[in-house]
Amino acid sequence: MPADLVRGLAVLAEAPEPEQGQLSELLGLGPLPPKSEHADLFLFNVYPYASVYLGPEGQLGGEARSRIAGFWNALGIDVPAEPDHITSLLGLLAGLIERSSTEEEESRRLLLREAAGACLFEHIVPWASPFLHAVRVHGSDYYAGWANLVGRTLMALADTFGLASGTRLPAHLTATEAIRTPGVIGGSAFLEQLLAPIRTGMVISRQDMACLGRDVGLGARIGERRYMLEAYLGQDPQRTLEWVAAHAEKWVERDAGTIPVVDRFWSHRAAESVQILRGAADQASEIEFTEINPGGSDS
Amino acid sequence: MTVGDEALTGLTERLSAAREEVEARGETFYPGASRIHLASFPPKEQWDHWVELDSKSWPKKKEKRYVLVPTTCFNCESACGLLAYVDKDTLEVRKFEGNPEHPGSRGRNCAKGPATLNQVVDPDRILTPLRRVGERGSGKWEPVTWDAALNDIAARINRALREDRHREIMYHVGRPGEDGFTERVIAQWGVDGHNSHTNICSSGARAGYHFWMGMDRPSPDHANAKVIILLSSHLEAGHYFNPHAQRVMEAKKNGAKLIVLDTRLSNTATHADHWISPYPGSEAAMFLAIARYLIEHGHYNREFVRKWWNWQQSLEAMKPGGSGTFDSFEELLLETYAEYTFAYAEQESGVPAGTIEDVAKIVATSGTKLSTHTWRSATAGNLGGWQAARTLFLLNALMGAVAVPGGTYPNSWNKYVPKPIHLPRHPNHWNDLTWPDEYPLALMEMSFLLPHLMKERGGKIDTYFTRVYNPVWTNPDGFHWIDLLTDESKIGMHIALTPTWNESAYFADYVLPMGHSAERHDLTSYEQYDGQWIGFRQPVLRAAKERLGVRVTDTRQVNPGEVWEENEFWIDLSWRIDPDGALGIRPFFESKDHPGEKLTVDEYYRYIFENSVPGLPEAASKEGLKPLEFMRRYGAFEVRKKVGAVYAESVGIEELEDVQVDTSGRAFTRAPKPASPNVVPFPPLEPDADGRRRVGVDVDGEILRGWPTPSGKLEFWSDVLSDWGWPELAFPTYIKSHIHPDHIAHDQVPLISTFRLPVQIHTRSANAKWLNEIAHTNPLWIHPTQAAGIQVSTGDLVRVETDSGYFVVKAWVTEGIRPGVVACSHHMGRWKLQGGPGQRMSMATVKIDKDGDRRTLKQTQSAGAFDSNDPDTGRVWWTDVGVHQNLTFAVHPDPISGAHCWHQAVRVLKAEPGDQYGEISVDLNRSYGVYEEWLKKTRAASAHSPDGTRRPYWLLRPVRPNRVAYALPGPSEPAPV
Repeated sequence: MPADLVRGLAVLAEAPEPEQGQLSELLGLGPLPPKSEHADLFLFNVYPYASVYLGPEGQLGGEARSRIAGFWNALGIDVPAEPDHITSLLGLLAGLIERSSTEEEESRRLLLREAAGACLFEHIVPWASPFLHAVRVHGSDYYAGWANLVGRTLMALADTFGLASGTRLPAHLTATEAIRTPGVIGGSAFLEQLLAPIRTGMVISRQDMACLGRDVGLGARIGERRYMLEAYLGQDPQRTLEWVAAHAEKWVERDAGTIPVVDRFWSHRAAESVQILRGAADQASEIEFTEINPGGSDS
Repeated sequence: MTVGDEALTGLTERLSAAREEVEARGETFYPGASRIHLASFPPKEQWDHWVELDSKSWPKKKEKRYVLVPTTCFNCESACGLLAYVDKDTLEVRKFEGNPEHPGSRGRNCAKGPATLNQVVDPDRILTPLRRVGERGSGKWEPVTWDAALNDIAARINRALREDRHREIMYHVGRPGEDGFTERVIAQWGVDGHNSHTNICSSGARAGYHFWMGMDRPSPDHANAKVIILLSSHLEAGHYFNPHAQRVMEAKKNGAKLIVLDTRLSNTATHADHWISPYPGSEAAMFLAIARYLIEHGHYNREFVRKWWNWQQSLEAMKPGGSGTFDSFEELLLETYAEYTFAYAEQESGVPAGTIEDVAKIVATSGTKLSTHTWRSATAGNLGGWQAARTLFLLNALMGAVAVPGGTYPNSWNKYVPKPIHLPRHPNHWNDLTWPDEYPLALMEMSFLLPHLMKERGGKIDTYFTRVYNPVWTNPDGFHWIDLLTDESKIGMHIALTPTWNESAYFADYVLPMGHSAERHDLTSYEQYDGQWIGFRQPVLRAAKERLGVRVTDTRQVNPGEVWEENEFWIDLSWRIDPDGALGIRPFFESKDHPGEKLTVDEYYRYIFENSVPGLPEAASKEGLKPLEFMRRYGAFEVRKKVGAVYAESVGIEELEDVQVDTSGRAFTRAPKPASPNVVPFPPLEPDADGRRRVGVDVDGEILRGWPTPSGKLEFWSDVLSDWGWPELAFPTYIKSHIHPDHIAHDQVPLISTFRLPVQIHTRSANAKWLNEIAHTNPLWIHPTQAAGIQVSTGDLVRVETDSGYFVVKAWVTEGIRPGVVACSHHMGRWKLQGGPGQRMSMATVKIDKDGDRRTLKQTQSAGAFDSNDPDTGRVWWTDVGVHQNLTFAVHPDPISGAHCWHQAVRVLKAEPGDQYGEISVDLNRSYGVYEEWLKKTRAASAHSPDGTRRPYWLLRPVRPNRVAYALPGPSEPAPV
């Protein structure tokens, strides 16, 4: 039953504990990594929450999480504290698959299967593509292996549910517009949009932020990502935006993630971002991005 | 379902096989902590060896090694599962958390559960048996051995039984916390001496349910409800708080509407979609207005009513001579409730008619998914409060929301009481002190009238046990209790079985320390959803030691000091009462494995788990455990899920032998009743004239199981009520409360005293430091408009005058109470006598003065910090521990249900110069006069019994004497006391 495979993968997105060792071995992923690897990846760089990838603000919570919580509610299942965490969602998917296999009543079995398909298509597949790519980029070999296995499993399930060849986009992906030029929305709003994957088609992690500073030769100010980016833009907006445009370009041509229609969406968003970022870089000197003093406070 | 990718298929098959193998061993395959599970719990296969980092050692990483042992919380009656973390190095309990294996509480606890630790390490707890020195109540004690105490008590009881003074033995219990163990002990002694606290608690609600369905508690399926009505928040904020609250919240998350009727803005009311704050006592009028709306607009479940109500009987009684059709019954319903318009409900309750109509419309949308619940609140507050429960359940009965998903079930179908190793005999005696002539329909013993009945009628109790009960503090008219307990001519010996000091134990001859929830055995089962489960309370150190290979034969070997547990105590005492078996008691306490030897708790529970709990031996066997080992390891077992609508089940052919159906549709059979290991009490049903037993009811030509009522149907009309003198109240109706505006003076207002502080534990939380820090006082809730009228602000002293005296308390001015009503929680106001022992953390020291019939109690010292082996006691920052208002309440026994009607008509005045906080003043003459006034409301069995008995045999009774004892005494025979 694929439910166990999905649930096993869900469990391994949690902080590694010795009890998970058997699972990890059974899945062919080898011994568990140290907890610090998990923390570095999922706490500091690649946040395993759907709302971060699907929400218009690129942050935890908000509309995207509410939509997912609504899905749990609609199923009559107690909404967990973090309904959009990858583990919660894979666990839900596993539960629905399992129940659809064991349900004796035909109509309920079909409903459960429909629900499993909806969970996969509407709430996991839409963000699995950038999320799993980011895990591969930033994670250790162990987590890259995990991400590959999750991706394969989701693709196989999408096939099983007959979702792989469709052309309709999941609702999450039609709810938010792409990034707009700073000339239209202003520098500050533009800055915020840069950190919303659903708008840009890319993920800029904390590790990416550090690379940006190093590559461009700017001073990194330690803080949350928006603060760091603001500080870079305050120092050299043009080169900063050029770096981000080049970063977006890498997301246009990245490996396929889940199902074609969704991969195309993300790739297209990244391509749009490249264009807009290049244009913004050309006009960088005319845009007010920041209110902070790049050199820090005098007092 | 498979996936196309072959490699993945192989992987998933490997995983599934491994999972099956691991789970077959009873172990957890998907480990916690994980979002996969409900919450984070240690995997159960690691309960023998659980390692956590010691938080106090941070930042050093010091490992703590634990054995995790389940037990059952005893800090209310919910019986939630606890998991004790027993330190392997010191064998001390470090903390209590939830037991994820418990079907009722599902791993969750309220604040009271973890606070069990406070009780265990309480520096003021009683650690050794004590015997009084000097006058009773003088506060002087000496340690005594268990042997000496047991021999003394046993000798008295032995003498009383040999001299046929069975009526002089009484066991008075507050929170039982177990399923019938001690009731059976008392019955096995042949004594009708069981005396529960229930008439100051839930009797009113129970009576309302019992007259409907022959079962006396509701079991609401909140989790699956579409509409939830809670009559006050008592239960959802106190009793059954945790199991119910979590299910109420589940329903809310699924879109259910929550309607809370509570004059106060309680915790539960804050979560309501509709908070209804009625004038207290008017609740039944509101329910009837809703019922009228449902009937008038055809929004009720007509088919359910036709099939399952005793409507033919109701028609015959209420409208004889008519057509006898169901249509005419519907007309009767409309006529009966015609006056209960929304406008009338507004007039009575003060709640706008439009609001009540809105609620009625919501109820109308519920279908059969209407869960309703009441336990104390209005039913314990008002004259006729039992009709509040009866009219609330009327809504369920109209909607057909009875024993179906999302509706309200009867408790007895959602409860499992396993048959014990020995079943008791029925006593031959009737105790008039607990079941007096005037209250034949009282659902439980008239416990709170004991001092008044003995003052009026004489009588003596030779040996009186109080257990988890504190009548001086808990009951109304506590000064009468003090007088009774100090009078050695009336109470020969008082033995207080208690883990902590309480106001009644001060007036005992022996104080015998019994364990808290982690220090005792009990078996519990409560109605908390549609299923049946048992919970096992156990001394956790005993279980921990046994897991570590140490044999324990007596719980005192592991409990602190000389603290014991009641199971072993009662067995030992019974053994000593009947040393040679001459009284016939000893066989009930004898081992079956080793005849002639005393029964052990291990054997007692082993027998039950091996023989009386279906599925448990098999579940244990799967894990390579014996049933007792399984229960010691997991603490709970779900016997059955989804019991469903038992009343609608067909009666099997094997039970239908020479069946006769009488004119009212009741079916009788000659087939014997199938044996059942579940001995949950049901009311006895009369056989037919030829001795066939009742087996069901004929509904549309099919014999279905029906209800355990005289008619076999839900009883809209109760012949029992009618035949025993109350025809005008034999159907769900509205009784104007004793605090109805028509019945009180213009300058009086109702005082609500029936609500809890959700984190407190009645008389046993005086030593729970965490709980005390959260809540430790009970100010008077008063609305700003009323406070302005007497010129008081929050914190000012007010004098509250009742029928028999007054108390002085601080005001809390709040809009969370209805204008014109005041409220004061009964949970605080604990005290200790000057120079005597007590709980220093939350008891004020007091001085009691007598002046003729006048009694006064004044606080001479507040609570505060003190030195002990617990550094936290030096950090106690609170001094105000509340006011003992119950002392100023006279008794108000409802003439039908027997429940004390707690609400008071009071005058609230600004305190007079010289009034002290916490001061109490009572005139015993006046309080006794109130007793006499209420006694006049009764209709005694001797005047109204239809069959020469003292009480309807059908009514439940905790200990049931044999049928001969039910006969009323003859005219020349004085009623024995």
